[in-house]
Amino acid sequence: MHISASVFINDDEQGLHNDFEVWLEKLAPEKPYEQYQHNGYEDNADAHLKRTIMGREVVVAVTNGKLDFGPWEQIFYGEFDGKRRKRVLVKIIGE
Amino acid sequence: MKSYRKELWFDIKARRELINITHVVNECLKESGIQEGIVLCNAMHISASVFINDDESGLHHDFEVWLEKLAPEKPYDQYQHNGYEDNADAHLKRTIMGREVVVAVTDGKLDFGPWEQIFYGEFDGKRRKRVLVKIIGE
Repeated sequence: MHISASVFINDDEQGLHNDFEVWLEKLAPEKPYEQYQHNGYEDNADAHLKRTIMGREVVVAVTNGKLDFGPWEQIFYGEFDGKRRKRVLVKIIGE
Repeated sequence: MKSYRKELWFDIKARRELINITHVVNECLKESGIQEGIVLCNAMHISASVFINDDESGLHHDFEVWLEKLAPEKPYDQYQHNGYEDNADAHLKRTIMGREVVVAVTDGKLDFGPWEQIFYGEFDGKRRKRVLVKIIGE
């Protein structure tokens, strides 16, 4: 529910998570803060960009009462500007 | 189940621009009469985006600089797509920014956090283009 965080689906493998961190830092580095015009009073411009790469939301099919996943799909909350209380929304519709 | 569909038309004079369309989507939701459901809002063109982020002009400038770094417009001939066209960069930029957003509808309102705003991102403008709003629910 925040524009500096993501929900995405990928592999639950910690090597990959480290790769994501390195890759995101390469594509949208946190520092120096002043390279970003957004960072007047804030310092989280990189978080807005990182979350753009990782995605805002996932949409998952429900079939027979279960999340209709392939073998390795796992849902992740990606925090890119933490240290405060933040929220994720889960909305389910159907019958 | 109720279903609502509307096309939003744009005719951006520049090649690239970000437009806040949250109020328009809100109007669509009111028109639909749907209280519980989901909204799909997507660009109907493969050179444009619909995405959610901050309505802050410094950040919009940062997006422009960043997208130009990741997927530069020129030189046009660096892209094999640019035989007869010149918009390969727009296809790539929109891939980074996203095609669509899916927003929850709760109590007849868009179920947003404090700062979420919907934007149309034009990356190959100067012609009439469309965004689709589709709402389902009850």
